[in-house]
Parts: sequence; C-alpha cells; structure tokens
Amino acid sequence: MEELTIIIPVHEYNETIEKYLQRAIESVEAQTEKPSNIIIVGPKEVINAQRQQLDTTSIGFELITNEGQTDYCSQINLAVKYVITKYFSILEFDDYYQKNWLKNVNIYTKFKPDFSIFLPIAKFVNVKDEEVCLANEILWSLAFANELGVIDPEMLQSYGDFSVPGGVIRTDDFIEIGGLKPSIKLSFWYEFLLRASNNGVKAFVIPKTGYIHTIERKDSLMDQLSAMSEKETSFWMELAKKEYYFVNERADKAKFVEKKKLTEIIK
Amino acid sequence: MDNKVKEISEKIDDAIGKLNKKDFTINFFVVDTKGVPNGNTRYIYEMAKELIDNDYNCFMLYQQEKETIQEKQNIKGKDVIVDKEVEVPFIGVRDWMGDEFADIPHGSIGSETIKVSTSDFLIIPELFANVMNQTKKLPCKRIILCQNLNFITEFMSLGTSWANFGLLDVITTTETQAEEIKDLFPYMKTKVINPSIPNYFRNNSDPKKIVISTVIKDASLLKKLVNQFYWKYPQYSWVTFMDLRNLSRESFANTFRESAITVWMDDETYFGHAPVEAIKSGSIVIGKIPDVIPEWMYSDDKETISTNGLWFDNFKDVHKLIAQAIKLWLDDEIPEIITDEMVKMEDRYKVEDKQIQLLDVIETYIAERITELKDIKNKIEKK
Repeated sequence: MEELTIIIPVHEYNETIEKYLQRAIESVEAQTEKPSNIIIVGPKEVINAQRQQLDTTSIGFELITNEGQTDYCSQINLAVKYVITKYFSILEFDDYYQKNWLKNVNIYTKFKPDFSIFLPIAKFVNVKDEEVCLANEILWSLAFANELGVIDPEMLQSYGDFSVPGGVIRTDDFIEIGGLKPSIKLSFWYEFLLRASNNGVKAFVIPKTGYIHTIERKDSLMDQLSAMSEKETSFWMELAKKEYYFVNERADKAKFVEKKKLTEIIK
Repeated sequence: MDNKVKEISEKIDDAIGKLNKKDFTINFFVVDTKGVPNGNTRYIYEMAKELIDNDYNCFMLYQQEKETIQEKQNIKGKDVIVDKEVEVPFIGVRDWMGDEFADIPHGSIGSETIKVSTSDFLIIPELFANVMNQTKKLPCKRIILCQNLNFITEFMSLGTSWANFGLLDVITTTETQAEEIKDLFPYMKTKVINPSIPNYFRNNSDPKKIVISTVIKDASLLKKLVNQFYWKYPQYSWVTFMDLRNLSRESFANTFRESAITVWMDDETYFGHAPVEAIKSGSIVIGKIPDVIPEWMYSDDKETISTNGLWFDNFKDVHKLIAQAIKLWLDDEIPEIITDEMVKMEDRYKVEDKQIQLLDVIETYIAERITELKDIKNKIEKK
C-alpha cells in the first residue's frame, strides 16, 4: 500500500507507552502490504526516544515534534500537513493492525474509488488483549444501513458511535474539509464524519476486523472520556451536530457560548 | 418375404436412415414449473438446448393440467352455477430460464398433433411412473432420466419396477447414483451425464460482503436457523442472511459472488447444485452432509470428506460453524486448506465437459438403437 502514510500520535512518554508503541510499529512492519512511511508526532521526549529506535525498522520514518497544542486532534492535523501520500491512517500507540489490514485497504480503495474514508470493523480489546466487542460492524446490518457498509447522512443523524482510528482517509479531502476540530472533545470524530458527509465525502466500513483497539487502559483518552457524565456526553454529541456545518472552528464568541453551556452542565 | 415382413423391414430401414441423418426427435417429458425455479427441470432444459445447438430436434412434452371452475349457465330459463373443466395454460420456464429455453417447441402429451415414431426418443424423469406406464406402447425408444433416486418410489405402485414399463435404459447424474440404480435394478443399463455449472458461477476480483446466503428449501428450518443463530450469537446479529429461494439463476450467481458465506441444507439431494455453484463463486459453504454424499464432497482419495466447505451432520452444529466462519472471514484467516480445495472446484462440472458427455451418450443411444432395430429386422426376416 505505497499510497499510504501511517500517523501515530503520542502525547507523552514512559515505559508502558514505549511497550505499546513498539507493538504498534511492529504491526505495521508485519503488514503483508507495507505502507509508504510512518509519521510519529509527539512532544520532544517522545521524538528523542524514538530517534534511538529507528535503525531497526524497514519502513521510512518521519518524526515530528509537536510544539504548542499537544492534544490528539492538533497532533493529527499537524501530522497530516507532512503527508505526501494519497491516503493516511491513524494508528493509536496502544492499538495495532491485523496483518492483512493494509492489503484489504488496498483492495477496497480500488473497489470503491469514489469513497474517501474507509473504516475497519475494529475489535475492542482490554489491556489483557481479550476481545470485548466490535465497532463499526453495525453498518453491515441490512436493518440499519440503506446500503451495506456505507455511512450515509441520514444514519449519521441518529447514530454516532463510530471508531475512526485504523481507518484510511484521503489526505486532500481531510485537508479540504478542515481536518479535526481540537475544541470538540469526545465527539470530534463524529463531528468530522458529519462534516465529511455534509461536504459529499463518502465513507465506507471495510468488512474486515483490521484494527485492534485497546480500551480500559488507565489514563487513556478513552478512559478520560468514558468518565464523562451522560449529560456531558450528550452535550458533545449535540455540539457535533451544530458544528459540522462549519469547515473551520467557529469564531471565539460562539465557542465561548458553548463552553459556558458545558460549564453549567458539569456543575 | 411376405408383404407384411417387407413393410416392417422397410419401416425399420426408414427409421435407421432417419437415425443416421439426425432426422428424428428427442422428446423430453417436463413438468410445468409455473415460473418457479427448479434445478431438476433446469437440467432437462439445458440438455435439450444443448442438443438443439448440435442440430438435434428436441420437443418438450407435458401433461395437460386441468382444473374445475364454476360457471354461471342459463338452463331452462334459470341461472345455475355449474362445474366446468378447463385446461390450465402451460407457463413453463420463461421467467427464470429465459426465452432461449422457453422457445423450445412444447406440446401436450395427449395432443393428437404429436406423433412419435420408431426413430424418436422419449426421456422420462424418474418421478413420472404414470408417464412410464402410459407410454409403454409407443414405438419410440424410451429412457429414464434419474436425477434423484429418492423420487422413484413417489408414484411407483408396490411390486412394480421399471422393467414392468418396458424400460431398461437410464441416464443418471453421478456414478454413485448409477451404482445404486444397479443395486436396485441390476438389469438396467446406466449412463452418466454429470450436471454442469454455468460459467457465470465464478469468483471475481471484487471483494465480498459479510452476507450469508441461504439455500434451504424448508422455510421453517431456515427461520429456525437464523433465529437460533441470533439468539446464540448476539454479537453477530448485524450479519445479514439472504434467502435465495425462488431467485433466477443469474441472481443466484450474483448473490453467491457477493456473499462471504453460504449455508446449504438438502438431505435428499444426490448432487447439490447450489453448494457447487457457491464454492465456484468463492463463497464459503457451510453445509449439512446429505443422506447420500455427493461425489464432489469427497477428497481426491475418494474416501474422506473434502475441506472444500465446512460440513456438518447435526443441525445443532451449524450455528457454531457459522460463527466460526464469520470470525475467520472478518479476521481474514480462512485456512488455506479450505481455500485451496475451493479453487480446485473451479475446474469441475464445466459446461464444456457436460456437452461432451451428453453428445457421447446420445450418440451411443443412437448407435444402440440402430443395432437394436437391425436385430429386429434380422429376426423378422429370418422368420
């Protein structure tokens, strides 16, 4: 899969993260069809530590030091600026790919050339690597999807629980529709998919469990988000539905209003 | 030689001449499918079409069905409702096999315009013991076509056998079935014409969908299968099952080509077209082993069951097999031992092979009929 760059965002560095990161990189190297290169984006200490490891890998690496905003969305937006391939995929450092995932991506991107977002059926596992559930599989239910595997605008209005990491996104479309919005917590991927759909960017779920997503890891982003109250979760989901009309982050004033509302909810 | 013998000898010579010139008709007895796809009828129509394409004359015979309707009649000034027997129009195969098969000449077996002569053949499917009996005085060569041995007892009265109807030749679809026929009727002469699978049952480079096609005749069994699967494996309740009953063959082919998995159950079949078609289309078949194991289900050693599908004996096992197949397919880890055997099936039951077999069998029957007629002529003339 030479037209693909893997982006690995890393926000901090310690021994546990290093262990996970190594597993993630190994899963890229084990692919039956290799990507063009890997971009690791993170704070200085991550990048410095990674520089030591590079000689042992067979795939081209690019290390980007993330100055300023180090949140997940900003890291990805920054890394995408360095992507020169047609597609990119986000690999979270505590996750990994199945060995044939990129081979399947290659097949399906050719099969559906007018689509720009390809999500995997993600397998959610706990820290012991035991399977907990699947994600995105619902798109393959005839009772749910108008067309099997296709994420359509109608469905997105009523369902937003998609898992995008591991998926493959066309680089130019990602940039054109404005990338991720760092001000939106929890529902940033949902907002992105709504925005993509609103801009005519088509999304499809490849019916292969290509991506293993670790959940229940302490201190993970997912862990923090799952601690949110129901009210707060609803707030972010509703916010996504308001924000997706705008390609770029809304003006400060509007954001202030929304933040004020959130503060009231959290109270 | 008296005139009578001379006349018979001339008729035999005429029949032999017609056989040599292909100036005769091969009649096939068919049942009206009324537009509903049926594998056994399809096999017969495909035979007829192939023979027509090779300059043989073929004719499809059917039994005229009648029904009673109620009609208002004025009798002696009063309106009365009377029962009236009317002919049911023959519908045939146009809807599901297309014009090229539906346009083969057809006629009712009781029609006065239909004549069969000594040089003609009549092929009678195994199910129709009544037709075998009704036609025993016809001068033509009659041959049984036995696709499923389970059907022969359906309309055969106790104590009778094919010999009672003057039938000694049978065409069947597999060697296994030919052996079983020999076992039941040692006097029968068997010839095998394997079924063929049209070339449009093939895999292509398009990726498959995680959809499960089902080919199960019994609607209640199908419902039981799907419901029980969803109850046992709710994590796969998003996987769609597609019921293929009553679809045209082309639709079958398209659906098989798209489906990752096919579930098939038919205890009574001797061949099983659907699973072979599915395997050739690259769909992983989960199937119940029929009462008589079809020859393609055996490995090269002819003894062990092949891994060209996932086979089970007990209905209880099917749900687990489906769940395993879904998982393996999603993980892209279908074992090579299965995929390799599936690929081997691509070269089997080709249309071209059946064409060769069919023409060979028909030519043999013609030669045998000529010999038979010559023998009769010699015997008559010697007398």
